[in-house]
Amino acid sequence: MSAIWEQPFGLAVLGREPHVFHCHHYNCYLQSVIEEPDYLDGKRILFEAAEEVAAAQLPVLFADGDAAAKLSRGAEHFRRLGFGLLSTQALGPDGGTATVAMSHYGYGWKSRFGTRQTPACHFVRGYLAGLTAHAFGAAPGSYDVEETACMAQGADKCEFRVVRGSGRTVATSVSTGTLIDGLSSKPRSTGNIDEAAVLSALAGMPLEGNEEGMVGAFGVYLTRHYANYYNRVCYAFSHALQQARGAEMAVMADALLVEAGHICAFHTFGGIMQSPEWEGLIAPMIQDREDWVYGITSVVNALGWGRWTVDEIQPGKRLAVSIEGSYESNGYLAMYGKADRGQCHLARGGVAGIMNLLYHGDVTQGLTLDTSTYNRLFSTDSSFYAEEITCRSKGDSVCTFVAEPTRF
Amino acid sequence: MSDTNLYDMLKQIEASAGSGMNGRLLRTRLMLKLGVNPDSITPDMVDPKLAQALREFAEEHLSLKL
Repeated sequence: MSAIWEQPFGLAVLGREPHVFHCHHYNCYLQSVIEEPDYLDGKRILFEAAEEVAAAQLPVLFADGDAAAKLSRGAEHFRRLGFGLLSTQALGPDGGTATVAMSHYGYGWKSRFGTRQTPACHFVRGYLAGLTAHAFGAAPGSYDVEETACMAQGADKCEFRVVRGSGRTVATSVSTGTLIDGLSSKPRSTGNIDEAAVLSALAGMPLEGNEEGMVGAFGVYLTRHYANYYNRVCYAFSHALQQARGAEMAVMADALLVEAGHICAFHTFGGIMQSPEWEGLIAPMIQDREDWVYGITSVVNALGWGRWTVDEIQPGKRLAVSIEGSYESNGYLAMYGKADRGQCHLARGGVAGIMNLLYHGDVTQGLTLDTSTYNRLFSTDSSFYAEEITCRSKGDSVCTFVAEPTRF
Repeated sequence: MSDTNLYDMLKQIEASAGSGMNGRLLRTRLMLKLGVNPDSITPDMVDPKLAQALREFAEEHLSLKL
């Protein structure tokens, strides 16, 4: 792949699309929330968001070559991002079939929740729709994709049928969204952590799919996913909910999107803080418990989520974090304009998660990252919970968060 | 229990969900599933579609057969 990653303002951009690391726990939990209400077409939201990003990025990355070359490069890209091992040889201009031998969503779902009755790989369906249209020179929205077998249902591999459709309108990706003008130059505290050294070391880590298309790291399966996929599925879901059941329901559902962030923090941050990489890179710099906070935020700044800064730590009591150019606010502003409430739900969960791992639990002494520990750390009345105080989506210049014990 | 005794089904789900943030989140998720506020479900209310949604929710999230 000849394309080059660009890194404006804490983002990671490839082929004009920002990418962010997220694990299968987050991906599958988020999908389960969006699929939950029978009165919304959550599967369509998931499918169309994937088609939107694929339709935008693949022509930028793979403009040259014949259809076979474009399909092959699209499959290789899919593998490198950690989505699985995609086979497209049986696709032609009229459609055909495709398989994913290891699917992040299919395998990840089964790993987290067990088997399900319906196929799980809506992201893959959308990606395939976008890839097929690009490969055969058709307009985005020209193909429909059905998953005919899924690992999440117990199948050995995921299988897809691609057919020519009647033509759907595919939303235009907002690319990097509404970017900030620049990063603040005011001094930032990083405790005893050399953040530049952390970022440099992490940039050299080979966090891309293996021969099976999986990124197994830190005890989770990672994807280097599309930020605009997350933004579209979260905000389209919230807007559809508001339209169907009113604003109160949409505000209520924010709590579930924040919960997805808690799950992300617990598994990914918790896994990172107990990894050999942490032991080798961060641990030698740590002098006190607060350095664990600075250490994990330094790592977060390599995930493509925007630039996180720890503004204040009151040990065991309070954490204040600001994010310049969060991927969530970049996307929301460009997709929907100004919001009436904060939209950085993932980040809220992440900020609270840091405190729960360090001060409600004690990750410094080792934690078993299972359901029992999760409930003990995140589901009690004294668990930390974060509020988003200011948000660029509301018109503020920066997104700020405060995590404190819940005490409902 | 009647197939459509929503109120009793809801009380069983709430008892299983428990208290704390976990219980609150489960109730939020239930509200999402039903599309209505569970507080609006009264003892005399009958609705087969909501009953089916409650049954699915109980089994999926609490491994509870209603």
